Amino acid sequence: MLGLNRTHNLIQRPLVRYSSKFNYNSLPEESKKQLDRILRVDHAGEYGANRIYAGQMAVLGKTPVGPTIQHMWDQEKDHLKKFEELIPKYRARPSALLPLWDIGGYALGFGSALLGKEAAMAVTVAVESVITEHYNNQLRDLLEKNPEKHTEILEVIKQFRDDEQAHHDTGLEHEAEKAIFYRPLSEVVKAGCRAAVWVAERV
Amino acid sequence: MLFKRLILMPRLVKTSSICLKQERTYLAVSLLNNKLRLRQISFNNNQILRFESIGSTGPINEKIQTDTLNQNESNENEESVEEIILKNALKFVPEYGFTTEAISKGAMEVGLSSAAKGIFNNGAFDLIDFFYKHSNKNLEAYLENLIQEGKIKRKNELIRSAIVYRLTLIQPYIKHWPQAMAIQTFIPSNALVSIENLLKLCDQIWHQVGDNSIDINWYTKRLTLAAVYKTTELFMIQDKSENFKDTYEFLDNRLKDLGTFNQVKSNFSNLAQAVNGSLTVLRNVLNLRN
Repeated sequence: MLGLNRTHNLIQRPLVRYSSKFNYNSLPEESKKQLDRILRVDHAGEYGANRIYAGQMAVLGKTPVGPTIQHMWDQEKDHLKKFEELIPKYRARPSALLPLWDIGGYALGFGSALLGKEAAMAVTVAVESVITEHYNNQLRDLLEKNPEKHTEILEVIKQFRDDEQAHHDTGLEHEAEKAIFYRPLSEVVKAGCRAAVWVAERV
Repeated sequence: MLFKRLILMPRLVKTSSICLKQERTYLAVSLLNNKLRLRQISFNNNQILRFESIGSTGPINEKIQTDTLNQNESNENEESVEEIILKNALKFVPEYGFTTEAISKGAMEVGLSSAAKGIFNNGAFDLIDFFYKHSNKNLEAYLENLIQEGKIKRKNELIRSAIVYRLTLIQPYIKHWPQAMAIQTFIPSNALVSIENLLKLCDQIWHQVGDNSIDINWYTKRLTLAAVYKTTELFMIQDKSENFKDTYEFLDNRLKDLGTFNQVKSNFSNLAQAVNGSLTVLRNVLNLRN
């Protein structure tokens, strides 16, 4: 009853009631709003990143770079799982455009991988650099006001920022810069990611 | 800034000190009208005595300032003057309805001038808004207890008792609730706040009952619950039956409808799976899989 049937779960989530463990109401009003935005966009971002790697794996899964991409994908899966826990906990609203991020991410991953391993890595580098920058901005915002209330989120974002930075470096190691049209490709992807971040914060 | 004004005010307070009660009223209202929140200043006797001595000058004045300042910092959880007034105003709602008169009466109840209603820019809507949020808070505590007790386990039963409890909170004011609903709905700026309140209510219920959906279900769950709650509320204001028996029956029927809706929805997702499956078969047949 009441929408309890969930057949489509990306990752099976345990059913937990958070109300007794953590006092959401003790957060100041502005923190609630801030965390709502942050968790929505980060969840959407990790969701999209997952789909990018899924698209890349569909093409490059059987090639020598397969395991590298798989490793990064596995880390993104962990990130996504974490945000799926945090969204109900902090009563954030998930992005309404998840189907769009799903298709968009997969298409980006799949399309870039078709252009070759270097182009796929170039996309990874571009995406991860925007995400790292975005996480850094969030850390700055969270530290600005009531940092003592945000310790959990701060820890999570710090760790994920480092992971994304590592993915960025992995991409560079795998000759991302040798991709065809590296500059324009990377700029277009970066602009697209920034636009997606802007939208996902809101919708 | 508050304290600067306190210093400027002694003369006014002195001239108007006809009796202690009036003096107190005057001081409080002037501060309120200047939009200075007396958040931490409660109206107990100690405080009044302090204000009485504001008329004198010199070191005593400074002492008062620092005293009040310390107090300001210490009590964070105390209610603001606005909340105190509105809480008391609710007592007068059965008699006066959700009106500014009720607010005035509420203000007088705590010893302020009836003109204190002037601090509420939206008039009656501020009272309704306060009532709504206050009731949401009560519901949260009630539901928390219910879950802690653990007698009711099933989610839909928890949701039902949450809606029933939330409706009982309105029942004392049922005579004036249609008027309140009109004020909530027909002024656009109020309507926006009211919709937000309603969605917050549904979000809160789902959260406490234990919902961790992070996809489109998040939206459908809250919107369907909002629809059920709002239609039942509408039904209740016309319900003449004893103890709102018909309302609860109506509610049960709406919840049943939702069950059917979800069945249909899950049938659709089965359909999606079937389509997906046949596509996989097709890809296998065409040898497109690695």
